Amino acid sequence: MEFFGQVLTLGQMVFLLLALGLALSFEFVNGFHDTANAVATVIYTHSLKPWVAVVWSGLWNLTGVLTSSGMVAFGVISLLPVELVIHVGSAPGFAMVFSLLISAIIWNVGTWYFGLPASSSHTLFGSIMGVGLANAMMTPGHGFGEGVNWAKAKDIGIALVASPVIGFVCTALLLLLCKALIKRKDLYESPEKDQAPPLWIRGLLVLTCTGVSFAHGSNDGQKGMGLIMLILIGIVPATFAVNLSMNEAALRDLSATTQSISFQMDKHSPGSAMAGGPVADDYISAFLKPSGKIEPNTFAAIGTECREISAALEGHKSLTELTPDQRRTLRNDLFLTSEALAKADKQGLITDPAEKKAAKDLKKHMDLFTKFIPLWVKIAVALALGLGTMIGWKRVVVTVGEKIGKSHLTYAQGASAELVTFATIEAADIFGLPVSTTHILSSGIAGAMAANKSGLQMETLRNILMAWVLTLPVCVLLGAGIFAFIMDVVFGALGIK
Amino acid sequence: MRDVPGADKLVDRLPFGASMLKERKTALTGMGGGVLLMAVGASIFALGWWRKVIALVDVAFVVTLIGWMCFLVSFAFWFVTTLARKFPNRFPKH
Repeated sequence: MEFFGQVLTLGQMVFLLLALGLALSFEFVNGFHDTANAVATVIYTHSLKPWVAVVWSGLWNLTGVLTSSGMVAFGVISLLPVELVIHVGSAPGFAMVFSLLISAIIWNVGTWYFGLPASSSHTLFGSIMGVGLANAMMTPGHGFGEGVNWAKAKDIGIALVASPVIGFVCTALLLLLCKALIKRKDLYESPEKDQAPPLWIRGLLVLTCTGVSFAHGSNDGQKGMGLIMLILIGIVPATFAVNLSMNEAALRDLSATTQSISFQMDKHSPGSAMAGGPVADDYISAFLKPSGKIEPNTFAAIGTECREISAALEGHKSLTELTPDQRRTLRNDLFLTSEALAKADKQGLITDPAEKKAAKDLKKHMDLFTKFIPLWVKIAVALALGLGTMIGWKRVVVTVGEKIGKSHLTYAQGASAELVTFATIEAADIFGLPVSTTHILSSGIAGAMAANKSGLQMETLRNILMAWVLTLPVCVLLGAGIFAFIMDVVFGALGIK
Repeated sequence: MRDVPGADKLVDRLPFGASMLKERKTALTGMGGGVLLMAVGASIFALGWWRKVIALVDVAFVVTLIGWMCFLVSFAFWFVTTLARKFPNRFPKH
């Protein structure tokens, strides 16, 4: 029966259902796991009633997802092992998606259960690392650690050290600055029962809560969208492999540009001949691995891919004229070429300014064909994340609001911590800083408590720190273990290869 | 921290929240509800498949998907609570 514009077997539909359910559940869990970042300070300073705060946060998460560009979504895909991404419709591709989502859900639910504010991004990346490691170990000809993006792992290492320091120090300094400049005793004392803070502090807290919720929606929501797109491309390539709404002019343009770039690429590899698409795929895949280096044939491979793209598009008025298999092949060619051009440019391998500009323009053009997110995917993720935010938020919020410091959060402490968190999110977006919002807020509360001499609950801090440090290794083990289990036991028993 | 006056009441106002829920019962109810929804979805799907009505298949897909999500999240919750109950002293108390 035709489903999503393609005839699917019952087995494919079941796979699609299982995978979509996992991805949306991950977003749902992510919602309630990370709510505390936005609402804890607002609730404990009585700026908003708890139910108002979580509904407000949920709605802004939802808005964040719906208005997101989708670029982060495809950033997640570029962290995955490239050979699994281009063969996502195969058994290892499905095992990758299933295992990284199951692993991330288990760790997120686990840390949420104990009320520990751990980073969802670190959880997801740890799972991706685990899958990469297991895949490298289980595939002949791969060295240990080949499928892992070590640069990203280093970023997480930096975030583990930098985020608590930034959160703790900046919040403490901001609070001390407030104390020096604003001489209002009520700001630095525990609030009376149900008494809201002064209007300007309340406004500031609601604004930062809104900003943090929106940023969370537009960032974390996209990670789920990227994984859903990967699932759809794997199971329903006819509809989702390439953007079928591209018009004839766009097809003609891309065909002509890829043809012209192919000659420029050939100039980098004089005398190198490429047998055809699959060989070029292998060369580019090897280059795209985190440890991949440029080889004499890499540029020739990009040139070959460009010629294949040009040939595939030539004479067509719409992408719907291609068969599902042709669309899938075209997508892989576009993905590999676009990523290879980006990596070559980033590594300074393209030096000629005109060629650099042409490569950038071509990448942008190609991305229009592959990096698109249907509206229903955005709505589904927005609902999952928004509803998740509104349900089950209490555990982590109680930890952040009550269990870090020894006294009730004051208005000034709440405002300082949330302001630093919000400012860090903005700074991280602009400067690409590898920091974790969750870590910043929790350590910010601790910094505010220390600066106010309110005292700290060391047992809670120890548990939180332990969770932060353990997130990556545990998720690596979980991701790798589940991947190996699915490949060997589940798919082995079902006879799926 | 238990000595914050009014703090528990503050968060208990919400009709949701983990401390109000009996964990095991909630997890099992969620899993049961999920299975039920999946069964309903499968029935609608069978009808749609048999009658070749795409709209019914679409509805069945969404219902089954919600059921599967419900089961999955509840299962993860049950798994973690069971683990925590098995090793009570190794985890932080709340």
